[in-house]
Amino acid sequence: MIAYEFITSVVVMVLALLAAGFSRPNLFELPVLLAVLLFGSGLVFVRAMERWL
Amino acid sequence: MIVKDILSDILLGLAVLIVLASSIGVLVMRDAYAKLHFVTPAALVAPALVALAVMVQHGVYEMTGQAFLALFFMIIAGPFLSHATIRAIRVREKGDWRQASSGKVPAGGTEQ
Repeated sequence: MIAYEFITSVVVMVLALLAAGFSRPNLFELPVLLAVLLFGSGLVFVRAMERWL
Repeated sequence: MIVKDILSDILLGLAVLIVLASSIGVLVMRDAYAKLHFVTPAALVAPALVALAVMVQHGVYEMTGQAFLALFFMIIAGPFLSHATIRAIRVREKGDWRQASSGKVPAGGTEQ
């Protein structure tokens, strides 16, 4: 879970920097979407780890 | 133009240093409780520096707003995920997340 949160944070930054570097504003939806999914999927993953894994 | 480039390079360099130091901390620490402390700088401080660098480079623009929106969601998610992770670790280790030695039962909880 720690690695998941860490890697997702780095990927959000990489996607944001790629979109900014290539000046493609529409690609900025990807880091925003991944940041939203980090919250939901992280909670689901933690709950599954707590109960079943 | 040159000042903007230098400032955004400094901010991005700081973000890279923070992520590197955090990854070393995660690798070096022994248990998950200690490792979790080193996720916070990489998950909160470094994205803030990246968003600031984008703002310095591109000004107040659509990309800057979206960068800060992503930062906002990460700021919301970080403490919740840290708490949930600690709780999951405690449940796996002790069977229950509540403190067993005090004898107090929290509101809404059942006595073990």
